[in-house]
Amino acid sequence: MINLKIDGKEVQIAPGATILDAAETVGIKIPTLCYLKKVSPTGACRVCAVEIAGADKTMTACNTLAIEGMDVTTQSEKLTKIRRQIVELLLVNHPLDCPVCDAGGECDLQDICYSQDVTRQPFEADDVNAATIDKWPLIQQVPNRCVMCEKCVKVCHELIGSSALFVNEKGDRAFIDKDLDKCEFCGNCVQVCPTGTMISKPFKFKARPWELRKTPSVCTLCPAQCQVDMQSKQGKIMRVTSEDGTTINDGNLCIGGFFAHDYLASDQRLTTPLVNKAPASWEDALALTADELAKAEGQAVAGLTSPRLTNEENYLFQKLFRVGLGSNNIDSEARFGALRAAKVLQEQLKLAGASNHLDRIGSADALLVFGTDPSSEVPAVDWQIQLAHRKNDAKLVFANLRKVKLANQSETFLQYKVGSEAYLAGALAKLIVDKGQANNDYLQQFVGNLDELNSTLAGIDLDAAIAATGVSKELLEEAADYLGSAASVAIVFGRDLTASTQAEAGVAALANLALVCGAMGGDKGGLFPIDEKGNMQGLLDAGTCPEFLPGLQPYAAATEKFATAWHAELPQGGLDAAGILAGIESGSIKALYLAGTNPLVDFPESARWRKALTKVNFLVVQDIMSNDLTALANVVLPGAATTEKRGSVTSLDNRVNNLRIAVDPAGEARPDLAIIADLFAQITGKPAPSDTVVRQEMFELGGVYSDVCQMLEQRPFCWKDAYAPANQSLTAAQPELKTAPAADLQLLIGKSRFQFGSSTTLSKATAELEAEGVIEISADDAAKLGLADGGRVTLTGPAGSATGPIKVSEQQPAGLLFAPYNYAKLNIQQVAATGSNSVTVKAAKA
Amino acid sequence: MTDYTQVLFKNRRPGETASLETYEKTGGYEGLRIALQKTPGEICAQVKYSGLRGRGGAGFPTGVKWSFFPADQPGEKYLVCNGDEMEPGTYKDRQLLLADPHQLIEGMVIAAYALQAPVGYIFLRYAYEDCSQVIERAIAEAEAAGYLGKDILGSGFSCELHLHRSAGRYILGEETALINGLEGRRPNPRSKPPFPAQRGLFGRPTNVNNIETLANVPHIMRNGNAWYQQLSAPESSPGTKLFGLSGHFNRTECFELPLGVTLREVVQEYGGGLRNGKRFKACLPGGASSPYMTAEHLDVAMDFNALEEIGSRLGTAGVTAFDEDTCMVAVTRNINRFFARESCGWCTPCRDGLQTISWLLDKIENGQGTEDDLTMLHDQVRNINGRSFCALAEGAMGPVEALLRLFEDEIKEHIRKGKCPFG
Ligand SMILES: Cc1cc2nc3c(=O)[nH]c(=O)nc-3n(C[C@H](O)[C@H](O)[C@H](O)COP(=O)(O)O)c2cc1C
Ligand code: SF4
Ligand code: SF4
Ligand code: SF4
Ligand code: SF4
Ligand code: FES
Repeated sequence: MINLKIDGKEVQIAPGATILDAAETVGIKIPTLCYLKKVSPTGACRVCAVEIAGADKTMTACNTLAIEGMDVTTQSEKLTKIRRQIVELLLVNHPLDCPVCDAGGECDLQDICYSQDVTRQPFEADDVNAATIDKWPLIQQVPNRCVMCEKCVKVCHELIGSSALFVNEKGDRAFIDKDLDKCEFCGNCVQVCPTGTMISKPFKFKARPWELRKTPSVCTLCPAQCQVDMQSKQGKIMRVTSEDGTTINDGNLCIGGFFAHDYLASDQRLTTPLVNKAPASWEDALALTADELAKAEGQAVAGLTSPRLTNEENYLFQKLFRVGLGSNNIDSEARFGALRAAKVLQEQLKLAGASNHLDRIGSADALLVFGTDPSSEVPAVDWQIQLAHRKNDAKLVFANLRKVKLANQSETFLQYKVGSEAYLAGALAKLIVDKGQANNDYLQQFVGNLDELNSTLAGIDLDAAIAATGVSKELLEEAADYLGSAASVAIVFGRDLTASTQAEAGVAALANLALVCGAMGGDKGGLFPIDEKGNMQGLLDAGTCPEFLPGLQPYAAATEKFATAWHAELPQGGLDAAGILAGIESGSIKALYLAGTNPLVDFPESARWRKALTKVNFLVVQDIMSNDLTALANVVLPGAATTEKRGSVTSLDNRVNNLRIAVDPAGEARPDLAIIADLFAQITGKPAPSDTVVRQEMFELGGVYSDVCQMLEQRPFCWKDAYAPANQSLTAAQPELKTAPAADLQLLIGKSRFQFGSSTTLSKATAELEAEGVIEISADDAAKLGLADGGRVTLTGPAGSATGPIKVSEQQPAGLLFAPYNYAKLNIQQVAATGSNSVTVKAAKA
Repeated sequence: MTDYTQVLFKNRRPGETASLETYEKTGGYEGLRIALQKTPGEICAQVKYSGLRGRGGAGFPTGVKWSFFPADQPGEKYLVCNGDEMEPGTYKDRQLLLADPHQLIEGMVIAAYALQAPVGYIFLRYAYEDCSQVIERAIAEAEAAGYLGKDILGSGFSCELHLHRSAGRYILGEETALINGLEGRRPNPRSKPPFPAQRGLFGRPTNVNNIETLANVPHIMRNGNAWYQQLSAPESSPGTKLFGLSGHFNRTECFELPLGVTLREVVQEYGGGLRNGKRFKACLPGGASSPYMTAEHLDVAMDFNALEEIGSRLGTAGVTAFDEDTCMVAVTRNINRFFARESCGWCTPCRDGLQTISWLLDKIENGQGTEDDLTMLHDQVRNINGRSFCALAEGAMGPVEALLRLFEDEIKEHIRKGKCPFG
């Protein structure tokens, strides 16, 4: 510890701390302007000048290290004068157009003028009067208001890792410029800008900060569930911000959280129940629905629910089906990805969700990011990777089909071929064991079938792996070395893998690899399955599929427990999504209840779903937006958005978050829980359960939610039980290794980096960046087709064809196309086959 | 003109660059042979006791700087030669390279060995196309002769040198900005600590020295410290120094003179007096960031300490003279414009402060200045000095501060007359 004196107070602080850090611990406030805790100190504004006994110059507190015996003065007449003069200089070329400046009322320059008593501006200088930069989408830059604190630049480089912003020019002409191609439109530069320089165009002139009502909640667009403050005026959300230092996202947001929220104000919001397309009263709509569902009960009724609904809603949804309708025909889009991974992890590793908290990615010594583009799927995971990589010098091994952002930052980029995932993970595990770098202590303690693991790995033919993956031996060895030699490893994998034909085998092989690395063994690192949808983990935990009851408890084994608790006999069997689709086609399913899900866009074989849904006798759709799907429905029930209702959601790392009501539901829309509860009451004749009752029951029966969660009422969030497997309880698997058949052209279907599900395509903000789904293609393939950017191509795959515009992208290897599933118009899912997000296609100029 | 011993300019011939052969004939690369017989620590110690001081402007003792370098630390370490030479009125490094470039190569190899930093970069001013060719040729010759590259002179020590042409900004001369520039980043200065010796180029220990500094090293190795120290009179400033003369001198050339010659000797003997028989009014003794000297200082010895004593700095020893008809307000304004323009824009006092100084000097020079402006000018100089992130702004205050100190009457005359008294 270092001992120093600040304003006469004795202070003790750890070595490496600055004078500013030390002052903070004893409540001494030194004025700052360019200082931002979450990035490296800049030391540019010079406002934080302090005096140090024995030094002839003043020093800047924010970047001067505290030293043993230092005697610091933070308040003196001299310092007041210095600080005032600095601020006066900052005003030299400042327009002081506060009345029309977006930052008025929340501007650090205003505040510091006020606090330092800067009442005059005696100087003049050449009037630079730089033109406002208006050519960027979504963000405007007013250089005249810039104080060159570089907070924006540092956040962009150090936390987001996109390095889009840079300082251009020099002297008083210096200004913040942007490499637009690198910008992710996360809006963090706007959030950290202390002045009205970086401005959100959608928010500009919408409200003065003091008119806004702040509701702390979480963003539910992706499963990181970042802390947000919903800021509303007159019942409308005007902007969304996040506060530094509150939760793992530390004030950072992505394009989803920061910009996309305006989809909620879309004029496609459903505001009233519809019966046969005509507005109806809630009473009529619900009575009809209850009636029709009950009529079709048992094998003839089915339901599909959604990772967009809350934990309580999904819990009650499955209970409604199992108890009220006697049907186990329930499923969701988890079926196509997340559930496949969850089953393997549950089986092998006793793991439900991630093994550790998100920030443990940030503290890991080595990272394996496998079959996911976190920058798009879960941006907050990308930020943790940036932290680990930049701050801790963690080694990044990036395995992906495409050369996306992290590929360029990684130490080792493993660009594998479609279908070779299990081979790739297997080869890495094998190499680590062969080099004697396996975490034997962990293996000995936790793995019950070590021999099997060893023989499985021994059975992997490295040459075959090299041939299958297309990755060189050198790269495999390098990657294995990084992972094998690191003290802690974080393994992150996602939808490229979990929605592919290789999902089960690939995840099993990754689970073996995680065991070999001891990834789940320590406080740092861990195993992190990710899926882009906001409450995917909560959906899995709710047991909304035929094979699991709540808490991912296997159906058969837990039937008795739930039957007793529910005082009901539970239905046997049950159809999954594919079964339900076939059932509708064959006529055995007569009534279908869709809650917050749209198979016409989100599901593979979407065209087949469309045909089927026109056939089903009774279709009830509960949603927030009117669209092609609601047009097919007999009854439409308008739900409230996550900003308009209470409930809990569970993040990918098992944080259970409370939603708060920021604005009233649109029109007559109702919280989904109230809708499901009403149906439950009408169908069962029991009283409609309140949200607290549902939550209580869910926590008690679900098992995975700890007691602590019952205190959720009083807290913004709490953690589910930590992962703590028993000794010898984990098993290694022997995944089947296959070589994918060669194909000329393949299509990978994934998520647009600007969109979250299909709903945000209704956001005007994100539409500025990608209005229509764009098919990304390598220059080679584009040339073969004779197409340039914007040219249209028709892709024909196993399930059908789709047509859309192309964009030549350096991210695409030759022979692989990428298309986002988010857009109803492109509707690329009509090309896909169930269970496979990468399919062989034929392409033709359209 | 006295016949002073020529060390760095020994092989200087008009319009010619000394070849490797010429260099070898006059003892070239003997210093390297001697150095390679010694341990790195011994070389550092010798350079320290030689008293050699940095020629880049600050005059920091070179051997002391080397002794801070973690030569024993494993992993990459770098040696960087600062050849940015963008200080107005300074052209001595260029003269040195064009005259006898192998001195630099030899000096760098010795330094690389002494610091155990076997990779060196020569960071050269953007405009020095001629020098870049000279350096490239010298590197090639030295490699071919075994003075550079693998296993130098059979010693087992290997060293590689790379030439980097600057993008052309004054701030790149500041060593941490230079390191950023070498890394391909925007050349903002970095905060110190960590010093380059701890975390410099690519985050590794890095030593930065000026061209002339490094060129002195082989001579010290070959001839010893006693010889080096007797080259000049002042104990604090041993050795010779290249003085680049410019401005109103009759002779605007670069001379190698012992440190400690008087300003009078420089002006009269070497500068040949001022043009048109005019009287000497003032000079910048060491580049545009050094405070003025006046006729009052003609008998001051031109060495590091003596100039500090009179409130100036030897800087780069680029001496720019101004005759009696020169308006010092106008000179200072022009110099200040340069610094304001070349400010990197990072910190407030420099970015905005230098601009306000420009505004004040403009006002005074144009005859619109008031007494209040003079007060404000004083105030601003105090406010900028010692408050900026790097030394650029402080350097910029050199001439302004000297203007206020030495030419206050001249400023007041501007104010009183409402115009520039020099017309
Ligand atoms: C604004 C600024 C510009 C500088 N320009 C140069 C330069 O052009 N050449 C140089 O050798 N040193 C320059 N320096 C000094 C270097 O930062 C550094 O001190 C020097 O290269 C060290 O070498 P030396 O110890 O051999 O003198 C400059 C310093 C500052 C603050
Ligand atoms: S929006 Fe995000 S990525 Fe773009 S410039 Fe700002 S901080 Fe950087
Ligand atoms: S744009 Fe804002 S955050 Fe960026 S440097 Fe300027 S004032 Fe600071
Ligand atoms: S979408 Fe995900 S990463 Fe983006 S703000 Fe929302 S929770 Fe955070
Ligand atoms: S003094 Fe400040 S603004 Fe000037 S060059 Fe140095 S860091 Fe940049
Ligand atoms: S807050 Fe310390 S220099 Fe800006």
